[in-house]
Amino acid sequence: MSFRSKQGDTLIEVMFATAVAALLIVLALTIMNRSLAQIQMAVETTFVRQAIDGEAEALRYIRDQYANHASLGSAQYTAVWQSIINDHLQSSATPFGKCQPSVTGDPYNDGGEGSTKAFYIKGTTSSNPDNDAVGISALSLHPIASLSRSETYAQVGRGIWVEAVKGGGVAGSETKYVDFHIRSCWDPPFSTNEKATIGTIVRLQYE
Amino acid sequence: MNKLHKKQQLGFTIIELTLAMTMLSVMMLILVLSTMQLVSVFNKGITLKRVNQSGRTVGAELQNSLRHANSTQLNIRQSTLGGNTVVTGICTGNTSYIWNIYAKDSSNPDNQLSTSIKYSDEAKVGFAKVADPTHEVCNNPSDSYRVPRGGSKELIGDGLVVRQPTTVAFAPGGGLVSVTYTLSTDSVEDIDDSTGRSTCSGGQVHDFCALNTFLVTAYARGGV
Repeated sequence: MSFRSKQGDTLIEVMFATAVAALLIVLALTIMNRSLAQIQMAVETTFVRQAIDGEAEALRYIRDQYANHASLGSAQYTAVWQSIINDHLQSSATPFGKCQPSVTGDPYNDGGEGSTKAFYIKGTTSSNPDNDAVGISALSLHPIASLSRSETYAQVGRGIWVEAVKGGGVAGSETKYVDFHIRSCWDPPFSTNEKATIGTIVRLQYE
Repeated sequence: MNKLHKKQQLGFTIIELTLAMTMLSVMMLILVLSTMQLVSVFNKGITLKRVNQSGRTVGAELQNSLRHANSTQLNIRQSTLGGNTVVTGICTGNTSYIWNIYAKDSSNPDNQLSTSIKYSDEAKVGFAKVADPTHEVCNNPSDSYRVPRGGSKELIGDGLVVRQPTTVAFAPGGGLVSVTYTLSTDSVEDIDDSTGRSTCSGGQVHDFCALNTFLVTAYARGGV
């Protein structure tokens, strides 16, 4: 017994211990990297959510400018609202979780064609393309054809678009409303084949 | 038995020792590098989470205040930093927001400049929400203004600062407001301000560096 205890570890024992240590390290690194990807995804979701909320606020603002006809610039926004009502209403929206062809760069092959009446609202006067805040000084409607793929997370005009679905017409009610489906689609960090999508619906009455 | 006993006392040869030490060194090296990588990934995650969490807190507070604001009461505070005019606050009616802007000193890259907005106890402001019905934040843009500790709340955590681009823009008519704000870690080593827009190399020379630019657009319909 005493003789055996003085022998030390066999090669097999050392190799086994090394393998267990290596396995633990690889496991820890995998878990950490996965949690890092989730944190990065949370950051991107924050950016996209803020952009979607901003788009909803811009639509509310334009609707109110159209309704009030009082504030400076209302004529411009009246035209934007009328363009939505006259040219961009559709009977149903693209299902949640789907992307536009121009966003994915691939044919829309899992639910028919993307909406051709979709659009987005964005300013165009920004001298600094990185500063989206400046763009609100000249909000205008852009057709879906000008939507491009986002390089990182989705931004308005680059992976974020709006589909306006006609509502109202309830018997006995004169109220008309539009459901604005604001959608986003982008490549998540540490990408898999799955696209990241977020959406919301804003209902606005206008008459 | 004697032969066996003699063999036991021989010890290891120099070849055996060299081999064993080499193997041990390689194992230790792998272990140390892996541990460093683990710590680095952990720090990166914590830093990203802190910046994101603070960005969301600021965004939620700003959006709530702006939505309830009367567009005619909206105003901004401006200060000077390194000869440039920077936006350091926005007043929304009863509530105002005030912050210090940080930027790398172009004449001494190891140094960083900042505006000097302070609390009443002389501590520097990060990004504060202030109860301000008299619009003192925007009406008094001098460095002598002190943010009252009692009527304010700090919105970003320790070790985070506000950088450029941080701007406020209004749509014609003033009702639609966009606030762009950039939050980052306060390390100066990995920040690049040379283009007028701060970027972060994400270096791990010191602590992990993170920088995010957030955008809040809100319709000030309090007066509608």
